[in-house]
Amino acid sequence: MSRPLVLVAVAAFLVLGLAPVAMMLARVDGAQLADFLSERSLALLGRTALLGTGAALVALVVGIPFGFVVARTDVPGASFWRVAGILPILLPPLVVAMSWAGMTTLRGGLATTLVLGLCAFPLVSLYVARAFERIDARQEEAALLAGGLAAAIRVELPLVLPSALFAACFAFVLSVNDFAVPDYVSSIGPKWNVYADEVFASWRSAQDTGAAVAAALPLVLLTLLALLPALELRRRNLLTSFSGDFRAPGRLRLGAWRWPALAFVLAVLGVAAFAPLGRLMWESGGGPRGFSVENARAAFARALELGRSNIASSLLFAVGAAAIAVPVGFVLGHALERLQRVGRWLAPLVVVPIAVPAILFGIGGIALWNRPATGALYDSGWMAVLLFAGRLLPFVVLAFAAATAMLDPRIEESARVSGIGPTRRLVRIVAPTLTLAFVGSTLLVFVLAMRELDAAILVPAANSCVLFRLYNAVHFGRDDFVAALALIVVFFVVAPGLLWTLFVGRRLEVLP
Amino acid sequence: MNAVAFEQVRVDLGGRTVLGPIDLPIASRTWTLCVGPSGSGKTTLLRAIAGLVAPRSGRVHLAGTLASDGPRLLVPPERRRIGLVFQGGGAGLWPHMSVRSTLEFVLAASGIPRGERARRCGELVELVELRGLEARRPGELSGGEAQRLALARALAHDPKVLLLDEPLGPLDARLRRDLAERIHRVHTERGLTTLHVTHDPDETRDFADRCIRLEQGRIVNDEAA
Amino acid sequence: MHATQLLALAAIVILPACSREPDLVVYCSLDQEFSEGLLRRFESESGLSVRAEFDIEANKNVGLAARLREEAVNRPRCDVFWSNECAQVAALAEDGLLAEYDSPSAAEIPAEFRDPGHHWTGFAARARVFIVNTKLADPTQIKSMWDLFDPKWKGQVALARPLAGTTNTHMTALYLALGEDEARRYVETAAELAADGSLNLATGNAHVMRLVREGHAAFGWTDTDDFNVALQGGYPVAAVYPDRGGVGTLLIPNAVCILESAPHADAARRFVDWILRPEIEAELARSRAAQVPVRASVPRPSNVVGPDGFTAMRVDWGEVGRTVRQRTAEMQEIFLK
Repeated sequence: MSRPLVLVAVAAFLVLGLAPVAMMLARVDGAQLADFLSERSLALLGRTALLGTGAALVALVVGIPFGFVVARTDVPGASFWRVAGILPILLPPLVVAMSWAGMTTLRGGLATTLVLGLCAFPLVSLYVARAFERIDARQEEAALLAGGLAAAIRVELPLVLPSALFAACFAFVLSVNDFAVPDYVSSIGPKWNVYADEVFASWRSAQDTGAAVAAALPLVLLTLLALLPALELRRRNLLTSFSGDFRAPGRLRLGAWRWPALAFVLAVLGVAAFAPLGRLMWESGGGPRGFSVENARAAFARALELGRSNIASSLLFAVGAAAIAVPVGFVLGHALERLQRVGRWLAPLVVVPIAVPAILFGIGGIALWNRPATGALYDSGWMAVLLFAGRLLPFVVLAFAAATAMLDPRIEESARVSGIGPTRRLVRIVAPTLTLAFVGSTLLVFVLAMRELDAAILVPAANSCVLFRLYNAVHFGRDDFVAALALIVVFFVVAPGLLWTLFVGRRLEVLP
Repeated sequence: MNAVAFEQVRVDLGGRTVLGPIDLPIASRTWTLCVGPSGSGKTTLLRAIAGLVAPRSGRVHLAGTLASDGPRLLVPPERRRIGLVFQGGGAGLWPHMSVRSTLEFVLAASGIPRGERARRCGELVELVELRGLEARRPGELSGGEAQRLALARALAHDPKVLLLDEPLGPLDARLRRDLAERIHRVHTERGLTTLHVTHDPDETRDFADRCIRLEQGRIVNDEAA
Repeated sequence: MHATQLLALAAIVILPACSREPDLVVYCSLDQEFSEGLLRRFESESGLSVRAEFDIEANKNVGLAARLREEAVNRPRCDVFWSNECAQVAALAEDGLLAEYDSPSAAEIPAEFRDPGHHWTGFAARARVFIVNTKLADPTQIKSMWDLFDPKWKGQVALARPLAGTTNTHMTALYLALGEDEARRYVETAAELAADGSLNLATGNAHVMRLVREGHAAFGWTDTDDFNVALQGGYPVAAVYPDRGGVGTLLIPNAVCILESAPHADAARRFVDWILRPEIEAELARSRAAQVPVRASVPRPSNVVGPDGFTAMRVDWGEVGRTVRQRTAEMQEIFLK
């Protein structure tokens, strides 16, 4: 292991990922903390935990069968559905909530839970699909011979469950931190406030960073509590291991069940992705005032004209963030997996940047970088890049740790005994064998940075990003423009992955 | 002088002692066979010599130099001048590198000047009879070819000690014999010290100077072959 | 690709994003759609380069104020804050973050829209009105702010959650206009009705406007600029300026101020003089935002109701600024349960 490289990467992580959080925490004093442990805020916290648990359950109930069907059965178009199944997590949950509010009368906590659960289900299905694909063919054949498909599933479910639970922890985290969906659903029916409301309201009203941070701490703790079991599952190697002489399993024949399975896949994707996208398309053409292709064309032309520079900024920020986060995340992720001593203290720290609300991470960024010595950087586009890189590093680190865990350690050991030094080993041996993880995590950072709004809200340089323009346009009720711009954003978010799938087609290693 | 010497070496893995404590001197330029049932600590013994696992206690000396003192690695694996061939058909080969680039990469890392690398690479290819396959990557080689590449790579940085972890296991009888003879020739020509872990001591008993038997991490038998 | 190559690529990609030091930095929370053109015009007329930072509507104006406070800790960079309402500006003045400046362009602006200490100046206002869907309700039947709670409109009325934005300012002002008890009764009744769905608690004023124009609600509180968007979109809507005989309609002006720590104070004063001219108010009145000029002398188009068309609520903005944080904390207790 290259000590200088690891030190540089750790230093980069400390500066980009942890220092903003530390700057933020330094503003809190003890008295402010006590304010937020009132009966009222604890009740909100309890409801938030309920929402997270509910959404995680929805994600499990939908994600496990979905992952199984698309990864391991002969359902028509299985490979296509496996890729298309990622789509719901690329759409902003608010768009899904708004489109479904227009189509159903379901409101309140149930609606919030269902929307957030559906938006997070691809996490579970992706992990489950991967776990099902790593079941050894011989093991499965033995079960099939003994008791058919039912027996095979009974044997395999316990092997897949850790992966599903790992993903469910992340679904919980995404759900409890979502502000927009509960806020929106509450606004069109009975009130159902959650703790994210409290954080957002405190931040808006307190005008005092310390108070806002103190208000956020209970949610940060809840988030960390949910991430700890995930880290433990990872540490115990329950997610990725398979034996050296692994034999990939074939697709299971569903027989007459192929068509009901296809209907299930279509229903899930219809609800979570196609309907919201269709609704956006409809709105871009005039929506309730009457759809026409001319309207849609005009809306797209206007969105492209007004949003062009914002799209360009977002693309620059996203590419820049990936260019920094990926090499740093590679070195750290590899160290996390290979250096047990480093891994033990690094693993819980790594998730900290995603455990704090994004807005507060942004405030921490201001406190850290807006100084005379770094003023030029703060005013430039670099600031947005560094902010996104720091915020998204945890995903990259975990993705590379997972990819490294899959790498035969003898590949590195043989280089070591052959006299290859640590830096060369990392650059010439490990990196090239993790090409798919490099492409995958670059796309991951790109997608998440394109979608990031909350961390960008307060930081001047990040204000030129396209989501900023989009949310501003929402205000003035320009629904056709908003819908067209939202579809353009979705296009840019999806495009790189789509191109890869079409022209290269190799499965990317992107799961943290 | 001993090429390798273990002094009360004990290795724990996952909270369980898998090797030792043992004392094991291995004289230079000898061929030592190491046999024993699965899980008896044979591979761990090789890995401790290579520095890929740290002993919990005891000392490992290489050519008279203290290389491991308990868990402290005094000489890292990359400076131990050890050639290691893993168990399995070409395990640990670098999937993205061709035969030629694999060998040239190791030669470059061991400080061979650019001009000389091609010649040395040619010699190694010749030695393991991979001529004509220089542009192939491990995925495009048969099991026997991959294992010969692993051997060439293990020899490329001019090691003093050669560690073989069941290198002939997956090959058919003819290839096994052929490769074993090839290795023995190199062992003799280069004056190597070879430690050969195997399930089947008969495959190289003709070449061996000594045979040790491990059971449950202890040496239960140590005799001249 | 190697790490070093990736870093080099990052440098190539990002370096152009760096820009040179501007002559003036303006933070602006009036919608970019209306303010950006004016800022660019100021640039060409003054020859000064302006870096403008806009707020996002989701922040309801608090984002820029929060950023100003955070930046003031280590390195102030903003010269002028152009806010689309004045409670947050008054709060900034209260905290000593604003410089005094009595612009000659503000001479004609009525005293109630100017800070007595000259820390900020109001112009181009929005009125807080009921937007009514004329297919669902007769606008002439809605006269008082209390009609929002009339049982006959159960489930058909809307209010933005008053924890931010102009609704927050509005409710804070009510405490001064109605007195503690009456205002608290108003706020608590709204929260109770919202809890069981009898009142739609919207995410913002634009959302109220959308609920009403699409017929999901009969009427609700919004700002005149949002109302005007619905009107121009051809929806069946009307505006009611309630409580003519009583407490009156709240007018919330834009407010412009110079930061105490402004790095470019001279340029800041030039900008404030420029933006406070009557021509700008007239232009904002003509725009889609339909802002209400606070100077009687400024011409207004037919869709902009002047102070003669309603009773204006009397507000001490300094007091609103002093109490807004306390009131917001109280409303947070009431609305977030």
